[in-house]
Amino acid sequence: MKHDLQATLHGELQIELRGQALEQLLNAALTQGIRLRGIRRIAPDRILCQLALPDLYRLRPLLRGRGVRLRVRGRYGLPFFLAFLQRRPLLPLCAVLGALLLTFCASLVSTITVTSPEPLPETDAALVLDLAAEAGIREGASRWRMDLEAAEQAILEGFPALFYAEIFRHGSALEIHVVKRVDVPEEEQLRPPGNIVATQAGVIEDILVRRGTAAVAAGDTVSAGDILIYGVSGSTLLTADGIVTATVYAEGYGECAEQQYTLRPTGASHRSLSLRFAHGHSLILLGGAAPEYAHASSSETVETLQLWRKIPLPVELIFRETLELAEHELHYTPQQARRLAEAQAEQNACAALPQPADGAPLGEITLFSEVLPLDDGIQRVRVVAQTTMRIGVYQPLSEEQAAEYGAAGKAAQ
Amino acid sequence: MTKQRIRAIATDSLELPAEIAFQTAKLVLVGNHMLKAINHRGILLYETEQIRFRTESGLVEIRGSELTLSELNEEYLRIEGHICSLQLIEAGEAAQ
Repeated sequence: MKHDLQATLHGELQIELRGQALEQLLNAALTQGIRLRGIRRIAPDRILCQLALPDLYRLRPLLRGRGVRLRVRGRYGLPFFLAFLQRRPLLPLCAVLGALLLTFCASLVSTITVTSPEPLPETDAALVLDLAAEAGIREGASRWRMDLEAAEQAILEGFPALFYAEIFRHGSALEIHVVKRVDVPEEEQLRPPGNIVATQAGVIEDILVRRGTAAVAAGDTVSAGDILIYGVSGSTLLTADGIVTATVYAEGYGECAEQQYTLRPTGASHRSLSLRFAHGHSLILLGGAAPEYAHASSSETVETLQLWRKIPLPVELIFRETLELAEHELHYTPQQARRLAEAQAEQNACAALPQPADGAPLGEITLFSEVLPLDDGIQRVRVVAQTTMRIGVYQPLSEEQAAEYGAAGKAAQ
Repeated sequence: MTKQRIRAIATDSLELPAEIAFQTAKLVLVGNHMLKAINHRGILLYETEQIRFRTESGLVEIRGSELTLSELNEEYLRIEGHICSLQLIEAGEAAQ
Protein backbone atom coordinates (compact mmCIF):
# COMPACT_ATOMS: atom_id res chain seq x y z
CA MET A 1 0.00 0.00 0.00
CA LYS A 2 2.77 2.36 1.03
CA HIS A 3 4.77 1.35 -2.00
CA ASP A 4 1.77 1.86 -4.26
CA LEU A 5 1.26 5.36 -2.90
CA GLN A 6 4.93 6.20 -3.43
CA ALA A 7 4.78 4.80 -6.95
CA THR A 8 1.71 6.93 -7.68
CA LEU A 9 3.24 10.09 -6.28
CA HIS A 10 6.74 9.73 -7.75
CA GLY A 11 5.75 7.96 -10.93
CA GLU A 12 6.50 4.43 -12.01
CA LEU A 13 7.74 2.95 -15.23
CA GLN A 14 7.39 -0.45 -16.72
CA ILE A 15 10.60 -1.23 -18.52
CA GLU A 16 11.85 -4.02 -20.73
CA LEU A 17 15.48 -5.04 -20.35
CA ARG A 18 17.04 -6.93 -23.22
CA GLY A 19 20.44 -8.53 -23.20
CA GLN A 20 22.57 -11.30 -21.77
CA ALA A 21 23.34 -11.97 -18.07
CA LEU A 22 20.45 -9.89 -16.82
CA GLU A 23 20.89 -11.38 -13.34
CA GLN A 24 24.18 -9.50 -13.03
CA LEU A 25 22.39 -6.30 -13.90
CA LEU A 26 19.75 -7.02 -11.24
CA ASN A 27 22.43 -7.58 -8.60
CA ALA A 28 24.22 -4.40 -9.64
CA ALA A 29 20.92 -2.53 -9.31
CA LEU A 30 20.47 -3.99 -5.83
CA THR A 31 23.85 -2.74 -4.71
CA GLN A 32 22.86 0.75 -5.88
CA GLY A 33 19.70 0.54 -3.75
CA ILE A 34 17.38 0.45 -6.75
CA ARG A 35 14.08 -1.18 -5.94
CA LEU A 36 12.57 -3.33 -8.65
CA ARG A 37 9.10 -4.83 -8.69
CA GLY A 38 7.17 -7.34 -10.73
CA ILE A 39 10.19 -8.82 -12.48
CA ARG A 40 8.94 -11.20 -15.12
CA ARG A 41 10.91 -13.02 -17.77
CA ILE A 42 9.15 -12.81 -21.11
CA ALA A 43 11.88 -14.32 -23.27
CA PRO A 44 15.28 -15.94 -22.61
CA ASP A 45 16.98 -12.58 -23.17
CA ARG A 46 14.23 -10.23 -21.98
CA ILE A 47 12.62 -9.31 -18.70
CA LEU A 48 9.88 -6.87 -17.76
CA CYS A 49 9.95 -5.02 -14.48
CA GLN A 50 8.59 -1.97 -12.73
CA LEU A 51 10.83 0.78 -11.54
CA ALA A 52 10.32 4.06 -9.70
CA LEU A 53 10.87 7.03 -12.00
CA PRO A 54 13.78 8.55 -10.00
CA ASP A 55 15.59 5.19 -10.11
CA LEU A 56 15.67 5.25 -13.91
CA TYR A 57 18.48 7.81 -13.88
CA ARG A 58 20.51 5.60 -11.51
CA LEU A 59 19.86 2.49 -13.59
CA ARG A 60 21.02 3.93 -16.91
CA PRO A 61 24.78 4.06 -16.02
CA LEU A 62 24.59 0.36 -15.05
CA LEU A 63 23.41 -0.59 -18.52
CA ARG A 64 26.48 0.80 -20.19
CA GLY A 65 29.13 -1.79 -20.84
CA ARG A 66 26.77 -4.73 -20.24
CA GLY A 67 25.13 -4.69 -23.64
CA VAL A 68 21.68 -4.40 -22.09
CA ARG A 69 19.08 -2.30 -23.85
CA LEU A 70 16.26 -0.59 -21.99
CA ARG A 71 12.86 0.17 -23.42
CA VAL A 72 10.06 1.92 -21.55
CA ARG A 73 6.81 0.01 -22.01
CA GLY A 74 4.48 1.96 -19.69
CA ARG A 75 4.29 5.09 -17.56
CA TYR A 76 2.09 5.43 -14.49
CA GLY A 77 1.63 7.91 -11.67
CA LEU A 78 1.09 11.55 -10.93
CA PRO A 79 4.08 13.10 -12.81
CA PHE A 80 2.92 11.54 -16.07
CA PHE A 81 -0.68 12.54 -15.45
CA LEU A 82 0.39 16.14 -14.77
CA ALA A 83 2.47 16.14 -17.92
CA PHE A 84 -0.54 14.83 -19.82
CA LEU A 85 -2.69 17.64 -18.42
CA GLN A 86 -0.03 20.22 -19.32
CA ARG A 87 -0.23 19.09 -22.92
CA ARG A 88 -4.05 19.40 -22.84
CA PRO A 89 -4.90 22.40 -20.63
CA LEU A 90 -8.53 22.48 -21.75
CA LEU A 91 -9.24 18.93 -20.61
CA PRO A 92 -9.51 19.64 -16.85
CA LEU A 93 -11.55 22.72 -17.60
CA CYS A 94 -13.96 20.69 -19.74
CA ALA A 95 -14.17 18.00 -17.04
CA VAL A 96 -15.09 20.58 -14.40
CA LEU A 97 -17.62 22.20 -16.73
CA GLY A 98 -19.10 18.77 -17.55
CA ALA A 99 -19.44 17.92 -13.86
CA LEU A 100 -21.11 21.28 -13.21
CA LEU A 101 -23.47 20.73 -16.13
CA LEU A 102 -24.40 17.28 -14.85
CA THR A 103 -25.00 18.67 -11.35
CA PHE A 104 -27.17 21.43 -12.81
CA CYS A 105 -29.20 18.95 -14.93
CA ALA A 106 -29.64 16.67 -11.92
CA SER A 107 -31.02 19.58 -9.91
CA LEU A 108 -33.93 20.03 -12.35
CA VAL A 109 -37.16 18.10 -12.25
CA SER A 110 -37.12 15.61 -15.11
CA THR A 111 -40.59 14.05 -14.93
CA ILE A 112 -43.74 14.42 -12.88
CA THR A 113 -46.19 11.55 -12.60
CA VAL A 114 -49.58 11.44 -10.93
CA THR A 115 -50.44 8.20 -9.15
CA SER A 116 -53.52 7.04 -7.32
CA PRO A 117 -54.65 3.77 -5.70
CA GLU A 118 -57.68 3.76 -7.99
CA PRO A 119 -57.41 4.41 -11.73
CA LEU A 120 -57.47 8.19 -12.22
CA PRO A 121 -59.13 9.70 -15.33
CA GLU A 122 -56.74 11.59 -17.62
CA THR A 123 -58.64 14.84 -17.12
CA ASP A 124 -58.19 14.58 -13.35
CA ALA A 125 -54.47 13.84 -13.73
CA ALA A 126 -54.13 16.82 -16.07
CA LEU A 127 -55.93 19.03 -13.55
CA VAL A 128 -53.57 17.88 -10.78
CA LEU A 129 -50.56 18.65 -13.00
CA ASP A 130 -51.96 22.10 -13.84
CA LEU A 131 -52.49 22.89 -10.15
CA ALA A 132 -48.97 21.65 -9.38
CA ALA A 133 -47.55 23.84 -12.17
CA GLU A 134 -49.34 26.87 -10.72
CA ALA A 135 -47.66 26.08 -7.40
CA GLY A 136 -44.24 25.94 -9.10
CA ILE A 137 -43.98 22.18 -9.54
CA ARG A 138 -43.26 21.74 -13.22
CA GLU A 139 -40.79 19.85 -15.36
CA GLY A 140 -37.53 21.74 -15.71
CA ALA A 141 -37.95 23.66 -12.44
CA SER A 142 -35.20 23.55 -9.83
CA ARG A 143 -35.75 20.82 -7.28
CA TRP A 144 -34.22 22.82 -4.45
CA ARG A 145 -36.52 25.84 -4.72
CA MET A 146 -39.78 23.91 -4.50
CA ASP A 147 -42.14 24.18 -1.55
CA LEU A 148 -43.75 20.77 -1.69
CA GLU A 149 -46.05 21.27 1.29
CA ALA A 150 -47.48 24.47 -0.19
CA ALA A 151 -47.96 22.70 -3.52
CA GLU A 152 -49.79 19.80 -1.82
CA GLN A 153 -52.09 22.29 -0.08
CA ALA A 154 -52.71 24.12 -3.37
CA ILE A 155 -53.63 20.86 -5.12
CA LEU A 156 -56.09 19.91 -2.35
CA GLU A 157 -57.70 23.36 -2.37
CA GLY A 158 -57.89 23.56 -6.14
CA PHE A 159 -59.36 20.07 -6.58
CA PRO A 160 -62.00 19.54 -3.88
CA ALA A 161 -62.72 16.00 -5.07
CA LEU A 162 -59.34 14.98 -3.69
CA PHE A 163 -59.10 13.62 -0.20
CA TYR A 164 -55.30 13.32 0.01
CA ALA A 165 -52.29 14.61 -1.94
CA GLU A 166 -48.60 14.11 -1.29
CA ILE A 167 -45.55 14.75 -3.43
CA PHE A 168 -42.63 12.32 -3.31
CA ARG A 169 -39.13 12.91 -4.68
CA HIS A 170 -37.43 10.03 -6.51
CA GLY A 171 -34.12 11.56 -7.58
CA SER A 172 -34.97 14.08 -10.28
CA ALA A 173 -38.47 12.62 -10.77
CA LEU A 174 -41.48 13.70 -8.76
CA GLU A 175 -44.52 11.62 -7.95
CA ILE A 176 -47.79 13.28 -6.97
CA HIS A 177 -49.83 10.71 -5.10
CA VAL A 178 -53.51 11.61 -4.81
CA VAL A 179 -56.57 9.85 -3.44
CA LYS A 180 -60.08 10.84 -4.53
CA ARG A 181 -63.00 11.00 -2.18
CA VAL A 182 -65.30 8.00 -2.40
CA ASP A 183 -68.93 8.94 -2.55
CA VAL A 184 -71.29 6.48 -0.90
CA PRO A 185 -73.64 5.05 -3.52
CA GLU A 186 -77.34 5.75 -3.04
CA GLU A 187 -78.23 2.09 -2.50
CA GLU A 188 -75.69 1.95 0.33
CA GLN A 189 -77.07 5.14 1.88
CA LEU A 190 -80.51 3.50 2.08
CA ARG A 191 -79.20 0.42 3.85
CA PRO A 192 -80.42 -0.19 7.39
CA PRO A 193 -77.87 -0.20 10.25
CA GLY A 194 -75.52 -3.16 9.99
CA ASN A 195 -72.08 -4.58 10.69
CA ILE A 196 -69.20 -5.50 8.44
CA VAL A 197 -68.52 -9.21 8.89
CA ALA A 198 -65.80 -11.54 7.62
CA THR A 199 -66.60 -13.72 4.64
CA GLN A 200 -63.75 -16.09 5.44
CA ALA A 201 -61.13 -16.88 8.03
CA GLY A 202 -57.82 -15.05 7.93
CA VAL A 203 -55.34 -12.80 9.69
CA ILE A 204 -56.19 -9.09 9.55
CA GLU A 205 -53.60 -7.08 7.65
CA ASP A 206 -55.22 -3.66 7.57
CA ILE A 207 -58.50 -2.09 8.59
CA LEU A 208 -59.86 1.25 7.38
CA VAL A 209 -63.09 2.31 9.10
CA ARG A 210 -65.26 4.79 7.19
CA ARG A 211 -68.28 4.47 9.45
CA GLY A 212 -68.75 2.53 12.64
CA THR A 213 -66.39 1.15 15.28
CA ALA A 214 -63.54 -1.24 14.58
CA ALA A 215 -64.01 -4.64 16.21
CA VAL A 216 -60.61 -6.06 15.23
CA ALA A 217 -57.09 -4.79 14.74
CA ALA A 218 -54.21 -5.70 12.44
CA GLY A 219 -52.75 -9.06 13.42
CA ASP A 220 -56.01 -10.48 14.79
CA THR A 221 -57.20 -13.88 13.59
CA VAL A 222 -60.83 -13.98 12.50
CA SER A 223 -63.22 -16.71 11.38
CA ALA A 224 -65.94 -16.49 8.77
CA GLY A 225 -68.91 -14.56 10.20
CA ASP A 226 -66.91 -12.64 12.83
CA ILE A 227 -67.82 -8.96 13.15
CA LEU A 228 -65.06 -6.71 11.82
CA ILE A 229 -66.70 -3.27 12.13
CA TYR A 230 -69.64 -2.62 14.45
CA GLY A 231 -72.51 -0.61 13.01
CA VAL A 232 -72.66 1.63 16.03
CA SER A 233 -70.99 4.83 17.13
CA GLY A 234 -71.71 5.75 20.75
CA SER A 235 -75.42 5.00 21.08
CA THR A 236 -76.19 5.72 17.39
CA LEU A 237 -76.84 2.78 15.15
CA LEU A 238 -75.48 3.22 11.63
CA THR A 239 -74.49 1.36 8.52
CA ALA A 240 -70.92 0.27 9.07
CA ASP A 241 -68.56 0.85 6.18
CA GLY A 242 -64.85 0.27 5.67
CA ILE A 243 -62.17 -1.80 4.03
CA VAL A 244 -60.77 -4.80 5.87
CA THR A 245 -57.84 -6.57 4.26
CA ALA A 246 -56.70 -9.95 5.55
CA THR A 247 -54.23 -12.66 4.71
CA VAL A 248 -56.11 -15.85 3.87
CA TYR A 249 -54.75 -19.33 3.47
CA ALA A 250 -55.82 -22.44 1.59
CA GLU A 251 -54.31 -25.88 1.53
CA GLY A 252 -53.91 -28.20 -1.42
CA TYR A 253 -52.73 -31.79 -1.59
CA GLY A 254 -51.20 -33.66 -4.50
CA GLU A 255 -49.65 -37.04 -5.02
CA CYS A 256 -48.02 -38.92 -7.83
CA ALA A 257 -46.91 -42.56 -7.93
CA GLU A 258 -43.45 -43.22 -9.33
CA GLN A 259 -44.87 -46.21 -11.21
CA GLN A 260 -48.22 -45.81 -12.96
CA TYR A 261 -50.32 -47.77 -15.41
CA THR A 262 -52.35 -46.03 -18.08
CA LEU A 263 -54.37 -47.17 -21.08
CA ARG A 264 -53.32 -45.94 -24.49
CA PRO A 265 -54.86 -46.59 -27.93
CA THR A 266 -53.02 -49.25 -29.91
CA GLY A 267 -54.29 -47.87 -33.23
CA ALA A 268 -56.68 -50.80 -33.89
CA SER A 269 -60.33 -49.75 -34.13
CA HIS A 270 -63.69 -51.00 -35.26
CA ARG A 271 -66.61 -49.02 -36.72
CA SER A 272 -70.15 -50.19 -37.16
CA LEU A 273 -73.48 -48.82 -38.32
CA SER A 274 -76.70 -50.24 -36.90
CA LEU A 275 -80.39 -49.55 -36.71
CA ARG A 276 -82.19 -49.49 -33.37
CA PHE A 277 -85.93 -49.94 -33.28
CA ALA A 278 -88.37 -48.49 -30.82
CA HIS A 279 -88.78 -51.74 -28.89
CA GLY A 280 -85.02 -51.96 -28.21
CA HIS A 281 -83.89 -54.44 -30.83
CA SER A 282 -81.07 -53.44 -33.07
CA LEU A 283 -79.87 -54.55 -36.46
CA ILE A 284 -76.26 -54.21 -37.55
CA LEU A 285 -76.09 -52.88 -41.08
CA LEU A 286 -72.33 -52.43 -41.58
CA GLY A 287 -69.14 -53.49 -39.79
CA GLY A 288 -70.44 -56.51 -37.91
CA ALA A 289 -70.08 -57.11 -34.19
CA ALA A 290 -67.17 -55.41 -32.41
CA PRO A 291 -64.19 -57.69 -31.63
CA GLU A 292 -63.63 -58.45 -27.98
CA TYR A 293 -60.72 -56.24 -26.98
CA ALA A 294 -59.18 -56.66 -23.52
CA HIS A 295 -59.40 -52.90 -23.01
CA ALA A 296 -61.42 -50.65 -25.21
CA SER A 297 -63.19 -47.33 -25.35
CA SER A 298 -66.18 -46.76 -27.53
CA SER A 299 -68.13 -43.75 -28.69
CA GLU A 300 -71.63 -43.72 -30.09
CA THR A 301 -73.42 -41.19 -32.29
CA VAL A 302 -77.18 -41.53 -32.52
CA GLU A 303 -79.07 -40.02 -35.46
CA THR A 304 -82.85 -39.85 -35.20
CA LEU A 305 -84.52 -40.37 -38.54
CA GLN A 306 -87.39 -38.14 -39.54
CA LEU A 307 -89.96 -38.86 -42.17
CA TRP A 308 -90.95 -35.30 -42.82
CA ARG A 309 -90.62 -32.18 -40.78
CA LYS A 310 -91.43 -33.13 -37.15
CA ILE A 311 -92.69 -36.63 -37.76
CA PRO A 312 -89.98 -38.98 -36.44
CA LEU A 313 -89.49 -42.57 -37.57
CA PRO A 314 -89.42 -45.20 -34.79
CA VAL A 315 -85.83 -46.15 -35.67
CA GLU A 316 -82.45 -44.63 -34.89
CA LEU A 317 -79.17 -44.84 -36.81
CA ILE A 318 -76.24 -45.64 -34.52
CA PHE A 319 -72.62 -45.07 -35.51
CA ARG A 320 -70.33 -46.82 -33.05
CA GLU A 321 -66.54 -46.60 -32.97
CA THR A 322 -64.50 -48.86 -30.70
CA LEU A 323 -60.80 -48.19 -30.05
CA GLU A 324 -58.53 -50.89 -28.71
CA LEU A 325 -56.50 -49.85 -25.65
CA ALA A 326 -53.42 -51.42 -24.14
CA GLU A 327 -51.84 -51.06 -20.73
CA HIS A 328 -48.85 -48.79 -20.67
CA GLU A 329 -46.48 -48.54 -17.76
CA LEU A 330 -45.13 -45.14 -16.79
CA HIS A 331 -41.99 -44.67 -14.70
CA TYR A 332 -41.16 -41.36 -13.07
CA THR A 333 -37.99 -40.52 -11.22
CA PRO A 334 -38.61 -39.42 -7.61
CA GLN A 335 -37.87 -35.82 -8.67
CA GLN A 336 -40.33 -35.96 -11.60
CA ALA A 337 -43.02 -37.53 -9.41
CA ARG A 338 -42.45 -34.88 -6.74
CA ARG A 339 -42.72 -32.08 -9.30
CA LEU A 340 -45.98 -33.52 -10.65
CA ALA A 341 -47.37 -33.94 -7.15
CA GLU A 342 -46.31 -30.40 -6.29
CA ALA A 343 -47.94 -28.98 -9.42
CA GLN A 344 -51.15 -30.81 -8.60
CA ALA A 345 -51.06 -29.62 -4.98
CA GLU A 346 -50.42 -26.01 -6.10
CA GLN A 347 -53.35 -26.17 -8.48
CA ASN A 348 -55.61 -27.54 -5.74
CA ALA A 349 -54.43 -24.93 -3.23
CA CYS A 350 -55.02 -22.04 -5.66
CA ALA A 351 -58.46 -23.41 -6.52
CA ALA A 352 -59.30 -23.67 -2.82
CA LEU A 353 -58.56 -19.98 -2.19
CA PRO A 354 -61.77 -18.06 -1.51
CA GLN A 355 -62.88 -15.21 -3.75
CA PRO A 356 -62.57 -11.63 -2.41
CA ALA A 357 -65.69 -10.13 -0.84
CA ASP A 358 -65.83 -7.21 -3.27
CA GLY A 359 -65.15 -9.27 -6.39
CA ALA A 360 -61.71 -7.70 -6.85
CA PRO A 361 -58.99 -9.90 -8.37
CA LEU A 362 -56.85 -11.93 -5.99
CA GLY A 363 -53.59 -10.41 -4.82
CA GLU A 364 -50.19 -12.01 -5.25
CA ILE A 365 -50.31 -15.65 -4.22
CA THR A 366 -47.41 -17.07 -2.21
CA LEU A 367 -47.01 -20.83 -2.09
CA PHE A 368 -45.33 -22.88 0.63
CA SER A 369 -44.78 -26.55 -0.11
CA GLU A 370 -44.10 -29.38 2.25
CA VAL A 371 -42.99 -32.78 1.03
CA LEU A 372 -44.65 -35.50 3.06
CA PRO A 373 -42.94 -38.80 3.88
CA LEU A 374 -42.69 -41.26 0.98
CA ASP A 375 -45.39 -43.88 1.01
CA ASP A 376 -45.03 -47.01 -1.17
CA GLY A 377 -43.38 -45.13 -4.03
CA ILE A 378 -45.97 -42.36 -3.95
CA GLN A 379 -44.66 -38.81 -3.74
CA ARG A 380 -47.00 -36.69 -1.64
CA VAL A 381 -46.86 -32.92 -1.36
CA ARG A 382 -48.91 -30.46 0.62
CA VAL A 383 -48.99 -26.82 -0.49
CA VAL A 384 -50.31 -23.85 1.42
CA ALA A 385 -51.33 -20.85 -0.69
CA GLN A 386 -51.36 -17.43 0.92
CA THR A 387 -52.79 -14.19 -0.43
CA THR A 388 -54.30 -10.94 0.79
CA MET A 389 -57.85 -9.86 -0.02
CA ARG A 390 -60.75 -7.82 1.25
CA ILE A 391 -62.93 -9.99 3.45
CA GLY A 392 -65.51 -7.57 4.87
CA VAL A 393 -69.15 -7.58 3.71
CA TYR A 394 -72.18 -5.72 4.96
CA GLN A 395 -74.70 -7.60 7.16
CA PRO A 396 -77.79 -5.88 8.60
CA LEU A 397 -78.16 -5.80 12.37
CA SER A 398 -80.45 -8.36 13.92
CA GLU A 399 -83.04 -7.13 16.39
CA GLU A 400 -81.02 -8.56 19.31
CA GLN A 401 -77.87 -6.82 18.12
CA ALA A 402 -79.69 -3.50 17.68
CA ALA A 403 -81.10 -3.74 21.21
CA GLU A 404 -77.72 -4.77 22.66
CA TYR A 405 -75.82 -1.92 20.92
CA GLY A 406 -78.43 0.62 21.96
CA ALA A 407 -78.33 -0.50 25.60
CA ALA A 408 -74.52 -0.54 25.66
CA GLY A 409 -74.37 2.96 24.18
CA LYS A 410 -76.78 4.35 26.77
CA ALA A 411 -74.86 2.65 29.60
CA ALA A 412 -71.62 4.19 28.37
CA GLN A 413 -73.23 7.65 28.39
CA MET B 1 36.64 -17.14 22.45
CA THR B 2 35.98 -16.13 18.89
CA LYS B 3 34.01 -13.09 17.81
CA GLN B 4 31.34 -15.38 16.35
CA ARG B 5 30.96 -17.23 19.64
CA ILE B 6 30.61 -13.99 21.63
CA ARG B 7 27.94 -12.79 19.22
CA ALA B 8 26.03 -16.10 19.59
CA ILE B 9 26.06 -15.85 23.39
CA ALA B 10 24.91 -12.23 23.28
CA THR B 11 22.13 -13.11 20.83
CA ASP B 12 20.93 -15.98 22.99
CA SER B 13 20.95 -13.97 26.18
CA LEU B 14 19.20 -10.96 24.61
CA GLU B 15 16.82 -13.22 22.65
CA LEU B 16 17.51 -11.34 19.44
CA PRO B 17 16.30 -12.78 16.11
CA ALA B 18 19.15 -14.54 14.29
CA GLU B 19 18.42 -12.86 10.97
CA ILE B 20 19.09 -9.49 12.62
CA ALA B 21 22.09 -10.48 14.70
CA PHE B 22 23.92 -12.68 12.18
CA GLN B 23 22.39 -11.42 8.93
CA THR B 24 21.28 -15.02 8.42
CA ALA B 25 18.83 -15.59 5.62
CA LYS B 26 15.20 -16.11 6.62
CA LEU B 27 12.90 -17.86 4.19
CA VAL B 28 9.14 -17.82 4.54
CA LEU B 29 7.15 -20.09 2.25
CA VAL B 30 3.49 -19.15 1.97
CA GLY B 31 1.60 -22.18 0.65
CA ASN B 32 3.11 -23.08 -2.67
CA HIS B 33 2.60 -19.74 -4.33
CA MET B 34 4.89 -17.32 -2.53
CA LEU B 35 8.36 -17.29 -1.00
CA LYS B 36 9.77 -14.38 0.97
CA ALA B 37 13.49 -14.20 1.61
CA ILE B 38 15.18 -11.75 3.95
CA ASN B 39 18.93 -11.13 3.85
CA HIS B 40 19.61 -12.60 0.44
CA ARG B 41 22.94 -11.93 -1.25
CA GLY B 42 21.87 -11.54 -4.87
CA ILE B 43 20.27 -13.38 -7.76
CA LEU B 44 22.29 -15.99 -9.57
CA LEU B 45 19.74 -17.26 -12.02
CA TYR B 46 16.29 -16.13 -12.96
CA GLU B 47 14.08 -18.09 -15.32
CA THR B 48 10.34 -18.64 -15.27
CA GLU B 49 10.85 -22.22 -14.08
CA GLN B 50 13.88 -21.82 -11.88
CA ILE B 51 15.30 -19.17 -9.59
CA ARG B 52 18.57 -19.44 -7.76
CA PHE B 53 19.80 -16.90 -5.24
CA ARG B 54 22.66 -16.67 -2.81
CA THR B 55 22.41 -16.40 0.97
CA GLU B 56 24.91 -16.23 3.85
CA SER B 57 24.79 -19.98 4.32
CA GLY B 58 24.67 -21.12 0.69
CA LEU B 59 22.40 -21.20 -2.32
CA VAL B 60 18.66 -21.50 -2.51
CA GLU B 61 17.14 -23.05 -5.59
CA ILE B 62 13.46 -22.78 -6.36
CA ARG B 63 11.74 -24.73 -9.08
CA GLY B 64 8.23 -24.27 -10.32
CA SER B 65 6.33 -22.54 -13.07
CA GLU B 66 5.44 -18.95 -13.93
CA LEU B 67 7.86 -17.70 -11.31
CA THR B 68 8.20 -13.94 -10.95
CA LEU B 69 10.33 -11.74 -8.75
CA SER B 70 7.52 -9.64 -7.39
CA GLU B 71 9.76 -7.51 -5.25
CA LEU B 72 13.49 -7.18 -5.13
CA ASN B 73 15.67 -4.88 -3.11
CA GLU B 74 18.91 -5.06 -1.18
CA GLU B 75 17.59 -7.19 1.66
CA TYR B 76 14.24 -8.46 0.66
CA LEU B 77 13.10 -10.74 -2.12
CA ARG B 78 9.62 -12.00 -2.89
CA ILE B 79 8.95 -14.74 -5.39
CA GLU B 80 5.46 -15.53 -6.66
CA GLY B 81 4.23 -18.30 -8.91
CA HIS B 82 3.66 -22.01 -8.62
CA ILE B 83 6.47 -23.34 -6.44
CA CYS B 84 7.20 -27.08 -6.76
CA SER B 85 10.48 -27.48 -4.91
CA LEU B 86 12.83 -25.59 -2.65
CA GLN B 87 16.40 -26.73 -2.22
CA LEU B 88 19.11 -25.42 0.05
CA ILE B 89 22.64 -25.99 -1.20
CA GLU B 90 25.42 -25.39 1.28
CA ALA B 91 28.40 -23.29 0.31
CA GLY B 92 30.74 -26.30 -0.02
CA GLU B 93 28.34 -28.28 -2.21
CA ALA B 94 27.71 -25.27 -4.43
CA ALA B 95 31.44 -24.91 -5.06
CA GLN B 96 31.65 -28.56 -6.14
